[in-house]
Amino acid sequence: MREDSPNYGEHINLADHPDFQTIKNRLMAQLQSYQTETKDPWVYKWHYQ
Amino acid sequence: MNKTNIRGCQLLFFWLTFILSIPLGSANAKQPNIVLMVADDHGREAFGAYGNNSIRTPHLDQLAKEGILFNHAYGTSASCSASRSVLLTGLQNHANGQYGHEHSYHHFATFDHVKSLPVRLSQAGYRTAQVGKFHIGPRATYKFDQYLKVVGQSADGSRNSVGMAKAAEPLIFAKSDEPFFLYLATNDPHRDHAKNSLGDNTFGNKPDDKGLALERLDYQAEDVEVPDYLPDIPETRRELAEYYQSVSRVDDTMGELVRLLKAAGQYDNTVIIYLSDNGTAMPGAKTTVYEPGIRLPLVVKTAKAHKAVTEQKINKTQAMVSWVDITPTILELAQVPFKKSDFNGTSFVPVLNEPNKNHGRDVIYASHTFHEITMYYPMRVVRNRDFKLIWNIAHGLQYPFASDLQIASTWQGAIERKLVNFGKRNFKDYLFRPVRHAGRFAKLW
Repeated sequence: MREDSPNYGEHINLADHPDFQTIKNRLMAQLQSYQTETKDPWVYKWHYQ
Repeated sequence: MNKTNIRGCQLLFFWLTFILSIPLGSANAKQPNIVLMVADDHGREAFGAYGNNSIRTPHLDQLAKEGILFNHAYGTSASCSASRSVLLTGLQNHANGQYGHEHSYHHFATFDHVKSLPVRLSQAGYRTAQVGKFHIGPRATYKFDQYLKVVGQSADGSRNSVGMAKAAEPLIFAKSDEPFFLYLATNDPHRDHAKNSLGDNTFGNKPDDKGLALERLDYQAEDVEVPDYLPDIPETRRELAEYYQSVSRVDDTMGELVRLLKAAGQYDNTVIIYLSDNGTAMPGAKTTVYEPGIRLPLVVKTAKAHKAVTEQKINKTQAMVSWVDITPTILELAQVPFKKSDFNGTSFVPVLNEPNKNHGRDVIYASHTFHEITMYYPMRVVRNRDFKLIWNIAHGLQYPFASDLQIASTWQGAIERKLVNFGKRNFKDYLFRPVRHAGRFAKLW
């Protein structure tokens, strides 16, 4: 994969791509963990997703 | 007493005399002066050292040659007040309370209990001074020893960027054993309230009262490089020409600052950190958590004694750093003790020592909650070296616009032309965002 533009990586949303689900779930867990650790009030919104 | 003992006593006396003769203030002499210069909405795509061949930023490029250019520096929020509060506290916005704009009826503020960078440095003996844009509060939380006045400023006092550097002259030239910390924040290259004769924002440039349009600028529409997140239409090019002109004033400000530091003999012992609060004031960048909004310019010129400058020739690093790291980094450079648990970030001084090595930060976090009071749209972001995930918490809502971005001729021009895409994004996807947006990037290491 070549980086033609610093923005190219997010031009296509891979969130629903079947090959991306494991990575996505790991990122979601990582984000939720950080929010919990740093006491982000919006962390409770995960319960409504 | 034999000869050896006498010589030993003489040697001991000599060293004691030498040590006691060192003035107490000299402990501070080893501490560098520190300048933190923050531009307003300077996207990295409008910066020569980051690859733009059309814009002229010679002073910033020179600083990058003498210092270290960061290729993966990330702001934590693409909004002025929110981002600046993170820079000066080392805390994410949900930890420092500054969720949105400070001014007027927006009225967001940092928690009273937060101990900010200028307060910490002042207590450690630094002479702290602020000039230019503030936009965070309360003032007591961000207390500086001096608030420098800009002489010969424009009507609203905001666009004399070079004057901001000149205002620091007394601070820089003062005879003092104590080092200084200068926080210089330009209002350039932010959008302005005025328009040129073509209806485009002037970005703080001289008024177009003679109808000269772009002829009054150093840049023309055909000169600019249109980044891929914007449509390549005449309105975009005209606005970017105005924007480039405003960026050039930021560059001139750095030039004046360096000139003063050298004239005062302070340049070699001064750390200069240059960065932007967020990306370009265009849809697709500012107020978004897409890469153009939060992947930002960062240049650090260390003091001369620093290893990276004196022993290595590397001036570009791929290390990931975040704006939550700025406060702990400055404190470490200033040799001011702090508890790691005081901050959400960590010092990246090891990167300054060895820019070509990976120092362990493999992930950054960013967020957006408000910008203006009417713009509630919470988003949370995790970005590692390969992947990025955006969580659009309020995904059922239409994405809200900053008032100046909505009326931008770039946005309006794209609508009038009935374009399907705005840059690489579909209009509908931009306005109505999915609950999660994921991207994949090339490996950095």
